[in-house]
Amino acid sequence: MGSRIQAAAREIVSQGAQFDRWGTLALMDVSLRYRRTVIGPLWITLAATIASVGTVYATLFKQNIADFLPSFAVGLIVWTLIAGTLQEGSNVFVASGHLIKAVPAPMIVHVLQMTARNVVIFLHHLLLVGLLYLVMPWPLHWTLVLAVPGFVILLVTLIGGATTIGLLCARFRDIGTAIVSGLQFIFFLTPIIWTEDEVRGTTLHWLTRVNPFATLLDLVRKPLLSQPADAEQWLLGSLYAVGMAAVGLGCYARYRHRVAYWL
Amino acid sequence: MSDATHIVLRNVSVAFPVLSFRDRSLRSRFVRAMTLRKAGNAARPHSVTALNGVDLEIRAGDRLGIIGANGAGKTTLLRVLAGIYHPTSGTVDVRGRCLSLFDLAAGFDEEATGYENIMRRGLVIGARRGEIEARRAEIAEFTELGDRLDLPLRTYSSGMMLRLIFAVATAIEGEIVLLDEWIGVGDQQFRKKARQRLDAIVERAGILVLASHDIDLIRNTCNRAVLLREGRIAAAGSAEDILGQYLAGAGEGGA
Repeated sequence: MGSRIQAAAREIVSQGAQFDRWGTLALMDVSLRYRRTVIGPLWITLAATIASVGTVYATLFKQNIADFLPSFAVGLIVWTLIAGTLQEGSNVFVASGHLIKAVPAPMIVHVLQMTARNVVIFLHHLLLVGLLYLVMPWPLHWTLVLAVPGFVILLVTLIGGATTIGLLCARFRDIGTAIVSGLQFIFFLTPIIWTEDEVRGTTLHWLTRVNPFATLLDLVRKPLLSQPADAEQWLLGSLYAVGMAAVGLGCYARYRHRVAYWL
Repeated sequence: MSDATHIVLRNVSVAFPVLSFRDRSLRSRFVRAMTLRKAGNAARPHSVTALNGVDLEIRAGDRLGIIGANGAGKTTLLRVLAGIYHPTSGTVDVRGRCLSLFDLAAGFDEEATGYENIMRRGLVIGARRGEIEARRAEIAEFTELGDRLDLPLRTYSSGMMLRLIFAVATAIEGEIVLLDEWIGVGDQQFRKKARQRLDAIVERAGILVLASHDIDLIRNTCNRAVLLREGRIAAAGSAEDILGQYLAGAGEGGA
């Protein structure tokens, strides 16, 4: 088993290094998806959602819009990355089935390409945050740069998770739908359309502490809002990343050669 | 071409799980486990053996033809050689860069332009960006499609599409060439050009493995052949001998 893990890890590293290949393919995928639009359809819906929901909620729950909107906007953007990657991840091998049976290539390439695609869209959405920074009177703080390590932790977790889910879904086709509805459920349990402060002292608050999605989301969101995430969150997030990477690597080592047979 | 190019298969078997709707459901497996139903014979997904104990050694210079009826395992064997299927048991040792010339349209995108598709397909089959950029002009010239390469693929006629697909697939050479039926594309004039290019590639390749039903093609191209029957190598030897056996076995289907 040890040598199998090593071989799988070597394969992932060597494919990961060929950034120009899967990176270019991902960029092309996104540009093809956006081809006949000017600024991208996802961009429009996201902006509209943030503006409308942000205003409605702020009014409804009598919150200061300048407090709520940024956290909601950034939260939704990071959530879109998380949910998009996991959702597409559940379908990543099945969707490339034709290609997998036609061209010999390590399976991880499909995961990397899919993740890169979602990251490109995420970076595209980040422009919206930049725009909000211009409009809203937020202070800039050096902790902004902590978004980078937070993002790396999130990304490692997502790649590990997407690989695991993708392999599982290639074998068992009924999980995909469960994941989609599961993500919807988690969306409401994660402080995106509500804030941690609102629920302080309730069970829900305890839940945000043990919810890995909330922790990982905060590692990117808080720095982007120039608020530092606390040490506990950094520690937990790193643990999630290491754990998920280990699970993903284990599944990859064991099942990558079986994928072509399941499609 | 180095003499080190070789392919060695030892006792290679490939078995496909035939997954029913039920086998594909994690829920039904969970229910089975929970209700403690005995995992009897019915519970195990049954499998189809596509290749069974195949031993094969191909050395540099060999032109190997694979013949056999439909479903004998020809395509599966090619996919094993290409590294798409990792055998369920046995070992595969392939040394040399493989050029697999089947399913050539995989990786193309209808929305993308001709030029973009050259890049896409190149990246998909494992070429680096620089490598493709260096050959872009040469590929474009070979297709003779000119400015049409700036248009999305969905505007192409099937003939134009085939030209592009062929030109991209054959732009990169391999020491080992795997062919599932000979590729013939386009109008008369392009067909001739394609034929010449394919001949040249086969000529330069260290090893050619060609699966085909075309008796004359195998006779003219290959020096060795194997006859597959129900996933086993029924006979191996010189192309002429094996073709003789195949035709005799095929009865009235033969000469």
